[in-house]
Amino acid sequence: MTSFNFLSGATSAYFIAFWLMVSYAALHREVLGRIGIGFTWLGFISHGLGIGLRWYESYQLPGDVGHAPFANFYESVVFFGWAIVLAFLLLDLRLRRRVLGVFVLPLALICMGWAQLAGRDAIEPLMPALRSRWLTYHVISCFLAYGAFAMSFCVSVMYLLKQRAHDDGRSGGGWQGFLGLFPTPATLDNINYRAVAIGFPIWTVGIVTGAAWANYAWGRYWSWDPKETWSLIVWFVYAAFLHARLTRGWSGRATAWLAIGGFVATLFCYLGVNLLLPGLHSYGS
Amino acid sequence: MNPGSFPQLHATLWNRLCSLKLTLVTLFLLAGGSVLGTILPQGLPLSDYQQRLGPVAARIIQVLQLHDMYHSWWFMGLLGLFAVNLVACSVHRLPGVWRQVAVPDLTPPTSRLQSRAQSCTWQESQSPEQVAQRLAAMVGSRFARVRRNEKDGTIWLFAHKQAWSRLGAYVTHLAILVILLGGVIGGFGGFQGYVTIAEGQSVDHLSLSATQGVKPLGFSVRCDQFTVDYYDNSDRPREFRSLLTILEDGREVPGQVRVPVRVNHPLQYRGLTFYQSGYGVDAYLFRFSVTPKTGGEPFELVMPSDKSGSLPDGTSVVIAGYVPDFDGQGPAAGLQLFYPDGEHGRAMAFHDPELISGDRSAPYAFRLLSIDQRFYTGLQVSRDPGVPIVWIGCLLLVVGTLAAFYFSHQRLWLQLHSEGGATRVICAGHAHRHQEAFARRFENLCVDLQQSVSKEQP
Ligand code: HEM
Repeated sequence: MTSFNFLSGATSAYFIAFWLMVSYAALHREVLGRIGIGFTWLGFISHGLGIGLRWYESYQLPGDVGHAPFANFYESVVFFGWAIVLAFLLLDLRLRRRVLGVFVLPLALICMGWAQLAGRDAIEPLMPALRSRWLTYHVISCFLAYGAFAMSFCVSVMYLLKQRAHDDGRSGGGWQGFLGLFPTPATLDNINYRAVAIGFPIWTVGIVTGAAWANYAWGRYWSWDPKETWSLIVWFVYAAFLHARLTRGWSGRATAWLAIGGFVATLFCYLGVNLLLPGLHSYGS
Repeated sequence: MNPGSFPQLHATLWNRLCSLKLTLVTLFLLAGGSVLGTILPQGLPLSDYQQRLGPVAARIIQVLQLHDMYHSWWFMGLLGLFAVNLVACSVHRLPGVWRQVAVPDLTPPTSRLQSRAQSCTWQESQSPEQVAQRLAAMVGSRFARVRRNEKDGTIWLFAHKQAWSRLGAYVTHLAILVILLGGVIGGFGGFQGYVTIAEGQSVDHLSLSATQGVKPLGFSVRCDQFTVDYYDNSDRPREFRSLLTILEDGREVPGQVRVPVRVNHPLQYRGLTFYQSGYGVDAYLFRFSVTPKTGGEPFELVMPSDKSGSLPDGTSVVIAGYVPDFDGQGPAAGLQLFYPDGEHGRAMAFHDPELISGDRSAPYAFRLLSIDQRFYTGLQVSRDPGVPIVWIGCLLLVVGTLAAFYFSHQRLWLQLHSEGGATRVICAGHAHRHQEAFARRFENLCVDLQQSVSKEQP
């Protein structure tokens, strides 16, 4: 078995899990949701093994090219997907509301699909600047935070859907039944805050380790490179979120939109900067 | 202005500075401003903007200093406002929070306890003293150390934990100020520069990035060797490495001789840090075998492409041209010869010993043995006295945000009060974070507390 097999296995498992979640949402059969979460776990473990094995395989290659598997676009998008599923499963252990999977699993599937379609999956040797222990710390913390922010995004979308249906006063129908599976708006709002509050310190660690690495590699801990700047923008947005929520008492719709804005900024920080703006952080493209 | 309005203005200004609305506005403005800086290319000369965007846009860019936005007056102003707001807010709130942590309310009145989000009340048949002992032991082992107070026959028990997490927000705010301070110190007391040093050469000054000026180092740096290491069987570089030697007054400094400097592994000396950052070919080193046509032993001549070499009889040799592959015959070099008598001539040198050409009259035959590259190394040099302060700030930032969001100040009060021979117990709790989780714990705790006392009953 190679890492590729494990990662493809994970993609298939997420695919099956997604449709199970959708049928659970449509048919309201608890057992479907439970099998769905089982498949998600299966995919997650296979995904983790795939990443771990890829790490190991890189050290088996000739020419001393071994490195943590976060170096090119393919590896990063695969890890992004893993972080999202990790955050989802941790949340599920607490909440046990499988319907979340309908919103989260597509994100993971997009990551895996994109990796397989667009990414070069060859293990490539690292360029000298990337050969740093800080890279590993930096990437792991950034991506764990991405996972948490993705959760906050998903529950914010759910919150807005649920709240809108409530305001419209419509009732009955399959859509209403689907919304009935959601946690209460208060719970969604609370998860939103918790996800940001968990992600924010990790994101802080990500920025700090990035600055430390830049200082070793380029002699400046901060140079307003677009990626750095966007990471700060994300940090500002979530800092605003936390202050608005904790000390000015915003909640509900306002914080949901703020969380969605935060995640859009996060995605831009992760992808937009590399695809659209010039800078030091491009994945060797 | 009438005399009464000054303190009022003062108070209004202070309130504005303390307001969280201002915080949110500055955070959004900083975020928005930063976005602008990532979209508009930074650091180009103003004429470039004029060409691309037209005169009006160029004028706006000039006034708002958008070509160097992160150092513009308004961005700096926003950061300053942010810092002032941060200080004002923290100064305004910290004393109150500190009081809650250091001087907790040990004997709150019944009404305040019952109005807490978490509270429960029950009766015990034992005396307040007996019940208090039981409960104190229980709370002590299940929750946190208990403080006991007594007034007019009513007993209060108080316990709290993770009180320090309340200070996390302030540590975070302090950290931001410390980082800004480190940045300012680096901005005023530091500089960035760049040097290139050819192998075997040394430099004692560097060119500054910001002003294009030149700065003496106060010592010299020699590059002994530069190498590029490739991954096996590929042309992908694995490592760039310079061996540097520091010289003070022309003498090698012990311990600073042939120090390897690699990407991610800089060299520090006298407050300056040297980072491996670029390289290039400085010159080619040619090695020839020279055979005098008049007879005599062949000898070797080694010379760089940018200098002349000289032969024993005083003839000097200059490399006029060089091709890596001459008609499929391998590398070849064209030489110019300047004889001691003032005449000159030409010669060709090939790798292949069979091929010898040039002026028939030339008294030497040349064969090209090898061509080596001589590199120069490019080093980013910086001095930043703010860096240690920035790292302290970063550490505080991580510790502060973790304390603020991952922990929660949880408080528990018990009030025991004799009521008609029995004891009425009021238990109240509060957590400043994670209220739902605390509510669950609180309920469990209440149940356990009630059972623990009733179990004791005969
Ligand atoms: C972007 C940088 C900032 C970060 C990461 C940050 C972080 C925090 C954190 C973690 C809290 C705890 C929330 C709570 O306990 O309720 C907090 C509270 C607070 N922050 Fe900030 N802060 C930042 C900027 C500011 C600024 C510029 C101000 C200026 C007014 C400010 C004012 C406050 C106030 C007044 C509180 C409430 C403190 C309390 O409840 O006792 N913050 N901040």
